[in-house]
Amino acid sequence: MQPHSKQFKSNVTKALADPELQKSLFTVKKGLVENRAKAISLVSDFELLREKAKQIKQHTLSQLDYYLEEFETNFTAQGGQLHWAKDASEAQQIIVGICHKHNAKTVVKGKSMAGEEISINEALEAAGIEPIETDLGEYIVQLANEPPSHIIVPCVHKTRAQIIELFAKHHKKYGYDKPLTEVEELVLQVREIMRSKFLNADIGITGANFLVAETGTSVIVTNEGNGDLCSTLPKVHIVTAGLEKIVPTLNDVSMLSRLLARSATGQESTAYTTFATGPQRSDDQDGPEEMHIVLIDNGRTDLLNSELSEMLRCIRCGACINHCPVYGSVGGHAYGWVYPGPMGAVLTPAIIGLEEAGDLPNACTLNGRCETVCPVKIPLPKLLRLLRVRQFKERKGSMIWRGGIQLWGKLASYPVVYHFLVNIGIRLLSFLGAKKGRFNKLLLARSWTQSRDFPSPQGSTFHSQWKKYKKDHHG
Amino acid sequence: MDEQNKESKRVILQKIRSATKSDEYSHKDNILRSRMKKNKSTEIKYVSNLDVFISKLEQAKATVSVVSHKRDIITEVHKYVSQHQISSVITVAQHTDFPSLDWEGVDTTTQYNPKALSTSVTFAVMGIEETGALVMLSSPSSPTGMNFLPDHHFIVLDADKVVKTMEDVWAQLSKSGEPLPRTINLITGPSRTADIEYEIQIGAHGPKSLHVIIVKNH
Amino acid sequence: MSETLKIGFFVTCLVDAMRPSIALASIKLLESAGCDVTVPSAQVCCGQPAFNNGDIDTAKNIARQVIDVFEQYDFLVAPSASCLGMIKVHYPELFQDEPHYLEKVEKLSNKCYEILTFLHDVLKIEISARFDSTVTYHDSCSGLRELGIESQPRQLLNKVKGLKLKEMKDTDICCGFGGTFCVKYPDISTSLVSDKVKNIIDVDAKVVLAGDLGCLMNIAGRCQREGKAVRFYHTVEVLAGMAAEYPAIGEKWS
Ligand code: SF4
Repeated sequence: MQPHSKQFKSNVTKALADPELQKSLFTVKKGLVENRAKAISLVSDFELLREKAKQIKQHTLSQLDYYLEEFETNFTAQGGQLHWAKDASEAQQIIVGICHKHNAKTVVKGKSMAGEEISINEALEAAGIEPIETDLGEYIVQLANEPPSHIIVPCVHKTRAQIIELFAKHHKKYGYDKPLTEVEELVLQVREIMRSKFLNADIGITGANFLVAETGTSVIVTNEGNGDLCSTLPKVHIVTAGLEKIVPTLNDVSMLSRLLARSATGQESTAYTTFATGPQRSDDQDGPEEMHIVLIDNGRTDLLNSELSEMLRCIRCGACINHCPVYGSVGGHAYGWVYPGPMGAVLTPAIIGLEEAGDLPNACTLNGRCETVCPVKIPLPKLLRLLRVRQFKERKGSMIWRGGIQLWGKLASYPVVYHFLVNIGIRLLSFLGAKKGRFNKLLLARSWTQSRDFPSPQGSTFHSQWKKYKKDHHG
Repeated sequence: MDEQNKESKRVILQKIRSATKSDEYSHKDNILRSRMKKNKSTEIKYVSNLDVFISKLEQAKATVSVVSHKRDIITEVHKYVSQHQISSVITVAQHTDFPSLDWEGVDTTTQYNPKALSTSVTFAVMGIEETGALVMLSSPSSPTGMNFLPDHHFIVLDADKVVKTMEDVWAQLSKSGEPLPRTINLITGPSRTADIEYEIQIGAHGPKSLHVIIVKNH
Repeated sequence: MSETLKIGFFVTCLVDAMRPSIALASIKLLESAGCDVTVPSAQVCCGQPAFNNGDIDTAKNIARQVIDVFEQYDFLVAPSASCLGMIKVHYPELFQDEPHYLEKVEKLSNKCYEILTFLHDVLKIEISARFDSTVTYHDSCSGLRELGIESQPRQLLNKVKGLKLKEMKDTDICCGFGGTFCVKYPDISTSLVSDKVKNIIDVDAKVVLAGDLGCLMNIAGRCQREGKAVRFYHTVEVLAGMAAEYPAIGEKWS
């Protein structure tokens, strides 16, 4: 997907003016947040779990080379084929290559953020192969020709009415013409349409939540069952996974999965957790004849080598997104690339570069709510600040801000001058504002007063009042 | 492995090593291997009171019945299909714990046909109390598709095989020393989605209903 | 406490300019509890705007100034959780690469307090003020998450005679101020503060109190723009019994 993060500002304006979107976002702000809170209140020591999860991921990252090779050994021992992809285009090339080798016409896909990241659908289409998203949410955004707006609930920005309309338009060709109203009917219709796609597809592509070094196993955690049909029915199964998905052992998966579903959807556990180890065995009646895993770097090793390396602990649960007030008011599309919210504001510049990511690191109030819910304790506000430091060093971002801050800094190092000047300003402002007690327009604070009043100060600065007070009271 | 793959692997590993300041890993092989070993709990914690396990399954919208003899499995399936007016042929998996079930009176087949599979009976090897999950292993006589293709899914579980946590499952499975089966499914309830307006809808792409039959002292 | 505590009072640049009464009320409370309060004149700002905008050098320069001026006191106390979070949590981060100076930084970090927590946890102050109104308390994000300030202001307010405290919804959600964020992204900020205003109106409080002037100005400004008759004070103004002496934020002297 072509990033358009640079247009964050104009995306924001559009998003805030979209009443349908605002209605949909309420779901995230309320439903997902409340469900998580409830699920976590039932765990006796969630903080301890978070700490353990953090340790597991941190340990793995510190020995990543070892665990990756260990994974490769064990996966290939079970007949799997591992592909190392340095970047998105290499990953595309590998996947399209496998498809061509099997003369594939159609590919059924489970949800994969890594797949989104490498724009696999575009690559398949360009190669004349039809990618079919089977996760309901992904399917809906595919029909709408939009990217997902959330990493867990891809079509959270769509209302039921919009979905009904989409289905009416696109499902006619399957012989459906009765207009639908209920969610149940919508889901059922997709189920029916998809069934033959699953049965007839040449290749299934899924993501992975974990890759287990110890056994060479790829793990997916899902609710709909589509991922399992993708990985079971077609004769070739391809897994797209970022290389940070690796964990040492099955027990580590057990620990992390305690946090994943609770953080993501507020479930104690999802309906399905599936462990796939290699292609089908000799006497099996189903399962793919070939299993490929495409291990994607795409900026991750650079991230590992940077001050932002903690971001690689991310298990893509989406909790930070659900708890982000900025995401809650502008939605995922405003962020302009694959990953939205706090994790996106860090990952996007880390993967596609600060230049392309535009102002994302600044699209945050640093309120810190994300950090408190992250199951692997990623200090997201700190990482966003570090990106701002990088921006500042590379002279990116607004020059006016830069100049303003530096001027302020200079002034602050001369307290006497500072106090003198500020006091003059405050006296003037107090004089002007005395009558009403506040301003509804201030030339110097236009961004403020466009939607808020600005209070009048109290006559003079504290420091000048204090000088006087001390003279009067303490002699 | 082709040349490009080799080269990409080399580049990626080298970048990782320069980031983590680690050399080729041979020297840490033992340490890390023992981390893997140490993590295996030796004592497997079985659960005798199944109340929690059952309530977790019910929370996940599965239905559960407990029977006291394995011949009751058939009665139970029969009861369920007639109650729910399910008329399709039932595809039944094979399981060593239940080798000779006599399905008389129920229209069953052991032929696995993905294109015509609307009701199935499969066998869990274990249950997990913590999550209400049923542990399903793929095998020649129990293909994975049987857990995902049907509209109605029955899972049979031996009451003595419910363990506390997922870790206990790994401890049990690793006892044999065999590699893992191609697929392990942990299943908690029928399939679902909340993708449309965050309304939970049971029955997405996988089964629309899951009925669990727990067999005591079989 | 037997010995007189020497307090270095950090006014914060926003209180200095916009609402000196907050500092006066704080000092009154501190002195009434027997503290010896000094307000060093060589203080300006904590450096947070520079820090949050990626200008580490400027942030460090300002931080050094604060550290050097305040190290001589038993405690540094400030009427803002946001500035205090900067000093307590982020100053040590800033000087990680200067071990010899870091010691000094950490010493200060360990003896600096946000005013409400200082009054409650350290001074265990008695409150004699009266304030006849229904109020709601707004938690600032830095107070809540960087410093863990949640129960202290509420416990102090419960001691104020005539005051009825009602909790609004979503107290853990940002009001959209975010320092320079509110002028960099005014639209998003407005959307957030409008939600906050709605929660305030829903709880039917007459007065909103908080521990950070930035949040207060933001929420008050929005409330007043929407024409809602809610009044805004810093918590210490009420605790010191000084609310009646000053117009509420954004209101005129009558
Ligand atoms: S950063 Fe943390 S909270 Fe956000 S998606 Fe990743 S793991 Fe989840």
